[in-house]
Amino acid sequence: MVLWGELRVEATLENLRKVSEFVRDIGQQLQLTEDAMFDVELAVEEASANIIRHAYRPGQAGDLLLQVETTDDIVRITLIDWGLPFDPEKVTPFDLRATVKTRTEDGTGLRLIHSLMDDVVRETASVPGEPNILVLCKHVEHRGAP
Amino acid sequence: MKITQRVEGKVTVFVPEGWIGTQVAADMDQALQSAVSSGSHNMVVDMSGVDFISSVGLRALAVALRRCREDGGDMKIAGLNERLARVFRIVGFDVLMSVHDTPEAAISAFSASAAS
Repeated sequence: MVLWGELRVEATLENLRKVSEFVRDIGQQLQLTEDAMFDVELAVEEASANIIRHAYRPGQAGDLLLQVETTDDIVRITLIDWGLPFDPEKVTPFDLRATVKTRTEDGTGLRLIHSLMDDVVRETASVPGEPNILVLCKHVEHRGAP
Repeated sequence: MKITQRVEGKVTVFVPEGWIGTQVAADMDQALQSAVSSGSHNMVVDMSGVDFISSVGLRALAVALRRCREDGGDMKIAGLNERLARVFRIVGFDVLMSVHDTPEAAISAFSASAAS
């Protein structure tokens, strides 16, 4: 894996645009197809937004670190925070068949992440202050590839 | 993100353009909610100028749809590109809401529903 870039920002909604620009910039350097770029950007947006909303308690500042690595046809994005461990058991499962009346937003972001990425791996900190690590991997196509 | 709207007969057509990311989706949410509160319960959202939508934007559409239907109306989607259409399929919005190729088709669907 080759490290293409690293970005560390305070985990705030205002910095989501920086995260998107960082990912798009690397995607352009890698000459990803527009489809691949879209999938990666959306998955990273959803993952980053979840960290921003849930990792740190209100009034408690914390950082989000992103690393982008690649091989020939795999892009690996690692998102790291030092906040509260994410417990997937606490997320209401996404219900694809929910009606308009019963549908909630719970799990929509996770649904998108898991659908757009080929592999999602999560390491939760066992001790407060240790990093929580989310790794998103996707096989990608490059513009101009045969 | 820019949002314009127009009225065609009894249908309000919303035209968001650009990037509906998490930071700006609240603007679309506000515009849709404001229209519903003002009495628009037949709406078409023309997505042909939208490049990207996050789950917060999708939620705004779902909430507006629910309110329209509670008021006896409906909200239809038009002009999804292939990437957005796939997002809609992933989250089941292709079944939840009526999706059309063009805003004209979506508006016509309201007339067809009224006639039947």
